[in-house]
Amino acid sequence: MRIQLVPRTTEFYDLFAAAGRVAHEAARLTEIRFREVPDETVPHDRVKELETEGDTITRDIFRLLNTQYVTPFDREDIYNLARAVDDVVDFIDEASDLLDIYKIDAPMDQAVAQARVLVEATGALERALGSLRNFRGAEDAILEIKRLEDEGDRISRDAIASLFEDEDVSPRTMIRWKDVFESLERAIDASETAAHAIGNIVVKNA
Amino acid sequence: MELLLVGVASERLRALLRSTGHTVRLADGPGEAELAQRSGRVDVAVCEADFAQLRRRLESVPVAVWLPTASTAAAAEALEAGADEVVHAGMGDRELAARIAALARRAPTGAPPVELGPLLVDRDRGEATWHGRRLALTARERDVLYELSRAGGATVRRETIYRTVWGYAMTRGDRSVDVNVKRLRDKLAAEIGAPVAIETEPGVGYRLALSQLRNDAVTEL
Repeated sequence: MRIQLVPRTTEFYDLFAAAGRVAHEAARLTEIRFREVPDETVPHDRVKELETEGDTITRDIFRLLNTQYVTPFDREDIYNLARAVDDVVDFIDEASDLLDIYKIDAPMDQAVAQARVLVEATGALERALGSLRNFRGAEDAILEIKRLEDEGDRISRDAIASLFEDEDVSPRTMIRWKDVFESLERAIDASETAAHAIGNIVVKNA
Repeated sequence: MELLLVGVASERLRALLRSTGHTVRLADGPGEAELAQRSGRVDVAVCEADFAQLRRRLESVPVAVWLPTASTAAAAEALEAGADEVVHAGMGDRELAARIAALARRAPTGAPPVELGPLLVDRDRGEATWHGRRLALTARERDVLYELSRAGGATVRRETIYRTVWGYAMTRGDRSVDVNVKRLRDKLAAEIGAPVAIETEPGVGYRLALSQLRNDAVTEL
């Protein structure tokens, strides 16, 4: 592999900005699916396509990292951030897929609330990733993601508790929705992990 | 007849009931009995122990208590606790079979059809008709319509509809009832039009718009 000495830092910024857009769009489509089930206007395939696009962007970042002599931030930070954003999209894809796998046939308010938080969190993540060039607005976006992660935690706890309020809840309902709630929670948590990675970069470089 | 033997060890009783043409299913305890009822019809349950728990779990099913040995004290105790019948090993085959059959006859039949003007919903036969014309509804939609029809024009809580139609407790936030009511509304609107409407009581549940039904029924006369 040839190491290039001419810096191509702009490409890193563009790729991270694209990764943020993909994560936000995947969350937006997934929220529509959770809200509209069983008459979803958005098939899971569209979320899957975004997940594939996200994988491609992650690979491009790693390739660039391995071929560039000069990088805009520490290599380890770039690697961690790319991996964290990739995880967000993977968990969103998983949650969306569960709707089909478990043949879920009606919305659950708590899952819709989680999906809405996820849309906001990935929106803030998109802004934070788009600000890596000059870090303008990055700190506000990071704080926003942390706030949303707290809100997501609260909704997830309440959602799981709701499954155990009555001992006569169907076992199917419990299995289906516990998995879905946990999957959406993982996606929100992953947004916060990505925000931490951006925070590290901001501290070192701003 | 569909019989459910709950924790009954007697091979004789099982063989006898099967030989008299009944379908016999087995359950280890009250929990399993409840699941069996949800997955299929149960006309009579026969149990050997845990009667009180079984009574709670199978509210609408007549329950006979089986005594492995004849005991007037145990029989009286079971009947006083609410058992619908007591049978014991000292009975002859013919009497045993006749008592179980009589219990099934005494038991209330399933859900009676509900008729509101030209709307007829028969849950047991699995059909809903309007002026005798069969409405193309799924089983869930038909069962929801049955619950709303049975209530006349009164509001039925979402949780009650879910409990009766799905057979389980509704989880807070679950929109299954709303989804089925929406589909039911769409189908009724397409097949019947204005005469039947399902109204929403926000935060509570749904009710059939009866006044329109009554007007229609008067017109029919």
